[in-house]
Amino acid sequence: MAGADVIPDPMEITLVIAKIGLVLLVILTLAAYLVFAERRILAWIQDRKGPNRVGPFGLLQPLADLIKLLTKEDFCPPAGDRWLFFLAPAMAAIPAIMTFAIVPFGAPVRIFGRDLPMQVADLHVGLLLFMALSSIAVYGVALGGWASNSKYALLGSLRGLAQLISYELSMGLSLVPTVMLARSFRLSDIVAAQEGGWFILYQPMAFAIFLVSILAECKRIPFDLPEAEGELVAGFHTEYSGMRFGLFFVGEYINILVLGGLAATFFLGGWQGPLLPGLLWFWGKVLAFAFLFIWIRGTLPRLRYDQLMHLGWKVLTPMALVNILATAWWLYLAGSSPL
Amino acid sequence: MTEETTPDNILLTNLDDLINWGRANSLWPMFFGLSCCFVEMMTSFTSRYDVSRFGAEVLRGTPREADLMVIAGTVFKKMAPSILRLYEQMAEPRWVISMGSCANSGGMYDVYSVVQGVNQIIPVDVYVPGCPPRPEAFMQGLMLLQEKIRKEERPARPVLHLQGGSQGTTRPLLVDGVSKSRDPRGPGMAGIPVRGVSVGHPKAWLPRSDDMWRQPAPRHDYPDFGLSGELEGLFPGMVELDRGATDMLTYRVAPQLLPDLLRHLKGRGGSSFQRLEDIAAVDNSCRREREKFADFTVNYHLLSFDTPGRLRLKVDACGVRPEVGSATSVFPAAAWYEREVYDMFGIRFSGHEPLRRILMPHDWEGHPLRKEHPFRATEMAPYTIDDARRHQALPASDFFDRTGDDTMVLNLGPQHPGTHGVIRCILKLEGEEVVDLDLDIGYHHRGAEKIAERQHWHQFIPYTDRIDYLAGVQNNLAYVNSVEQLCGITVPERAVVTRVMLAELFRIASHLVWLGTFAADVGAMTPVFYTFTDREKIFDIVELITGGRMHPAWLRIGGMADDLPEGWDVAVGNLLDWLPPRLREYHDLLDRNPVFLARLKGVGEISREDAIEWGLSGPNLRACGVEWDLRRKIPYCGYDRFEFDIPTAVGGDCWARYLVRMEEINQSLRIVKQCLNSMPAGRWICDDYRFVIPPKRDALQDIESLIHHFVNVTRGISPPPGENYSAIEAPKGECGYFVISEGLSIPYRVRIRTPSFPHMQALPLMSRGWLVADFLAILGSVDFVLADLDR
Amino acid sequence: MAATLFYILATVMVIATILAITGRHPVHAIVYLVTSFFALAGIFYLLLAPLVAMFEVIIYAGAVMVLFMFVIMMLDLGHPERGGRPALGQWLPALLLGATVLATISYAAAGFAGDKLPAMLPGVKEFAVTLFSRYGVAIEVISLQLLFAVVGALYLGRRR
Repeated sequence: MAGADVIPDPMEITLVIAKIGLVLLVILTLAAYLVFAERRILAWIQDRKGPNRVGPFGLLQPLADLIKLLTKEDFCPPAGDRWLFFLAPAMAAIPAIMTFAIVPFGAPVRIFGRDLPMQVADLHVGLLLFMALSSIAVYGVALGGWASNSKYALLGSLRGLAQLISYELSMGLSLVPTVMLARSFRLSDIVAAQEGGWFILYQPMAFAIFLVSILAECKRIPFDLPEAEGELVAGFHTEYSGMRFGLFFVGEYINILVLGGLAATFFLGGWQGPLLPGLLWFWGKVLAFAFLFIWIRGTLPRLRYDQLMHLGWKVLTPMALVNILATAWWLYLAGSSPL
Repeated sequence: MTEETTPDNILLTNLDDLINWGRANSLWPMFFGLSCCFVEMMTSFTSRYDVSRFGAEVLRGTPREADLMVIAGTVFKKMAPSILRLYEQMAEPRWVISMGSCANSGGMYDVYSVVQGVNQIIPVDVYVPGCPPRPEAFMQGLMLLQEKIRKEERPARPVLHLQGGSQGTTRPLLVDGVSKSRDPRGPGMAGIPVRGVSVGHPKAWLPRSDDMWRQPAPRHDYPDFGLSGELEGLFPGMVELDRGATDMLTYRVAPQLLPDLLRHLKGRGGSSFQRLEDIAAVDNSCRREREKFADFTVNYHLLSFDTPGRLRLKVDACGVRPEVGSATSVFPAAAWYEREVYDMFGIRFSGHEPLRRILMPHDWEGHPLRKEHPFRATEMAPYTIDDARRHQALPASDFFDRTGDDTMVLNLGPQHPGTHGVIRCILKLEGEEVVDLDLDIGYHHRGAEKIAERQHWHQFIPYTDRIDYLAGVQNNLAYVNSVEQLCGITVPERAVVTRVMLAELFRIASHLVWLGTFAADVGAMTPVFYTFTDREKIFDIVELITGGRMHPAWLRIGGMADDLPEGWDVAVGNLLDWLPPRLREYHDLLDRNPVFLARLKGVGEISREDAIEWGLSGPNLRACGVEWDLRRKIPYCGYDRFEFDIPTAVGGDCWARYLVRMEEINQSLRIVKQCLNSMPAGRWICDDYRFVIPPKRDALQDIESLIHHFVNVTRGISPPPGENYSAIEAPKGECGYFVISEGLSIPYRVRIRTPSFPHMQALPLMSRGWLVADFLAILGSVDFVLADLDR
Repeated sequence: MAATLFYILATVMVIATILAITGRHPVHAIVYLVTSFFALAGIFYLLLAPLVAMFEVIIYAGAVMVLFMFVIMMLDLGHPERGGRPALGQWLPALLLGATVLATISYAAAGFAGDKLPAMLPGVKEFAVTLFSRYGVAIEVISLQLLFAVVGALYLGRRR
């Protein structure tokens, strides 16, 4: 695919566009309903009912919120940096959506006489693309807070920057053993390599590190410092209103879905599973991760800034390094060294 | 509706309905509260009421993201500019609910520091009546607003940038005295003269005859501090024992001697007086026997831990610029007290520079507690939107002597989701480390002490409820306890035990609110829902007994308003079964939670010595290992006959404060259980009808009771001339009332010593060197209430 | 198609880089520079070097520039855009250096035979094997040097 000067088949292009459209639709709808699910699950955890008045079982609540947000005044603080202020929410949401391009969300299907992978782009540097996109997602947070010209927003941005730099590292390192086991950066290869057994069985430590790191990456409790409500009012998006705030808000949930999908791909065998079709297995795993995130939010207090840094740099990163060495040693002993 | 360029068609109308449907079902309120009403508003978010069913539980800390501003509580003049600003920061369309009597019209606070209705500065869509409205009432207000949006608004045109249409609040602002009645009785009374002013006796509360014999104030024994003759010997001619005082050992002191005398008392061997309890000034200009008093008297109340007891020093100050020696060199805690005396009375303290205002806005004119200062807001010029725009708070940089290049000054408040109300913390940050901080308080000053000077002794009881509005009956108890001491009333047994039971129930309720909000301060969102469920169970009992929730106003001078109702024992028994397993669950969830521990252990410590030095009391003092509880050490209200332990902890950090409060809940349950098991029979209010409102049943039986009932309700009781200070162990610490009677049916002066005041004064000491996140944890761990701080 | 993409990316890159140099506000300059890195990564991708493209984004856009931004925000420089433009004397060395680089590249490009793509595209594995066997010592030396830098930075940070 990469750069080759071949004129692609129009059918191919149609299918790819169809896939992109489908994935976008599913992701955006799911993200909106994930917000709703979170409100209902939190209510359930907290002995309440949650939104249940709008439509049957409150199912139209996300629609009402969307209409409200869309018709609200779009405001930029007069002393803020207009251009970056309006750009930032998109910069936060788009990398998350783009990441989904490389996630295989189902077993390949045969359609019109050809094998169609359930994946938008099967790059052979897929895992690296994920790292690249997640490392630039921080610009949305950083620029949004900075362009607002508010002290709370700036503090939120600084926290976001520091936090994401720290956890990027442990996240990347925790994925190295996966690559060593699968011998590929290609996500479909990683899924295929788990046919015999999910990587969570071989790499429980890497999974744990990855899980904590993606919690921090999503800026969720106990790592929600960039927007810590009781401390920084609303953190980096303090000055945002209407749909731009909505983009930050929904971006967080898209991120949960994407990172949940990646966690499933890297450690839980992706779409693989017995009996049920691959699509169901994959989305089931993603939603299980989403539920876990919501559950954690309803349970844990928030860490302090320095404790978060301490955890990232002094606990997770060394652990991930040791884990890499141990995996390499193990692979070497097993006689399957790539060298 | 204005002129329309395109006709309304079916499309626009349908769009109107769609947008209205979305907006009505997605009203996100701002996390904004002013006072007591806010607690009831928050209660409506918790499990029993659950406003989230309407999709309105998404509280937003920032005005930009909120659709709905609920003015829950009193609109203070100092706070009004901030309220206006927050409203203007909200994105269109925005709506306003005015919740509670204070926000609607000033309510019972027609006093110099309160705006008489928020509709004078911002437009209001829906009014929710009540003081405070119940959570259900707030939810009805929300539903009314939803209906208003659905029925009255045409938002399609503004959304599509067409002319015409309407959205958000469109009601006009009201102008006091023009479009709004200034009559404190409400509109439509203009033709009728105000009673007692133009048609009646100019001083209706005066006794009909001063010749009537009155029993003098009874003398109470005070502990022997071994002071007899000591002070007179050391400072000959400048210290004089006040033999007229009935409540505690009292000396009259020359103004310039004060610092030296305090130093001696603090450092003397034997019973030293280590804590400055309070500084209470009195303006004597309206005394009936004016010639016997200097212009001002400043009362210093000191406390001895060694021999539990108090000592009063009286200092006279005269002239247009009255001045007294400053006590700050001896007691650092005196700083805020002296600032308050300066703010309220204009008395200066030599050696205390610069002496700034503390409660009133910096540009306030006059000193409110002087007798010549107006009482009521309706006696002063109307507060308009122009005033709200003109008066701005001092810039943050004014609070520090020097702000360096590598520090950032951050304003936390007066409206911030982490501060539990309206207080402004000005932080000097280096990165996120708090290098220094100062507090700007007084945003919640409701002038309770001034109000006391125009109410009958009984009429003031409802106002005490609203001091520490989380502790209900405890405030009543503190006040009536002091008045009863002054009058020498013996409270019947049944009333004593009931008072203790209610007080302990409120202590538990207050601690539960603290636990929930404290957990929220460190980022845990769920505990507050659990603890508020428990609190509702307590409120069920409170409602069964008193008929009220947060503000029962249930205690009366000499007893209670009524007997316990049928079935109270079953209800209390049920609570005693319900709470212990819940508490065990909280312990299981929190005690070994690594994040919780990491956030609290060692954070915000204060040493035992500092705690005493800065006047800490209650759980905050006990968390430093000081076994000091007024219920044991200076017993009141029959606490000496109950069995309970005084929980203490070591370290004085957030964790220790958590441990102490959790154990206090257990001990309170123990006391409630004893009350339940040994509730005596008999009267619930004493029969000393000179000071007591007789029960209605008696009044219907015999003429004697009827006459007393009539007189004591209309004219009010008249305690003997004299003064009394006594304090109780309120949930947040020691709460004392200093009442001064001139033998009239209204108090001459009521001074309220609240625990939150010294606690907040010590906050900078606890918080320096910690991070912003820790600061909010410390703030939460101290457990303060804004009304308790600013009164 | 690849050629069209290349010219679009190259234009974006050149414009973004010029804006990054002339932009007065450091945060804006960072945003332009990141855009430029992205375009460069795209070009690498077109040149059949996806690995380099990814590392370009991860390391330069995702780590180095983020750190720059962190420092700029932390220091809160106020309003540098209101300052004066750099004088001609300050432009001169940059222009000289730029001209030299341009000349060198032109010379190298003129000597390039063109159109000769390697027979086999180097995959991740070949890349890694070459890097760690043939250049193993160099890698170790560089990582040691980075370690020194980390220790030095820690030491400096501690002393304050």
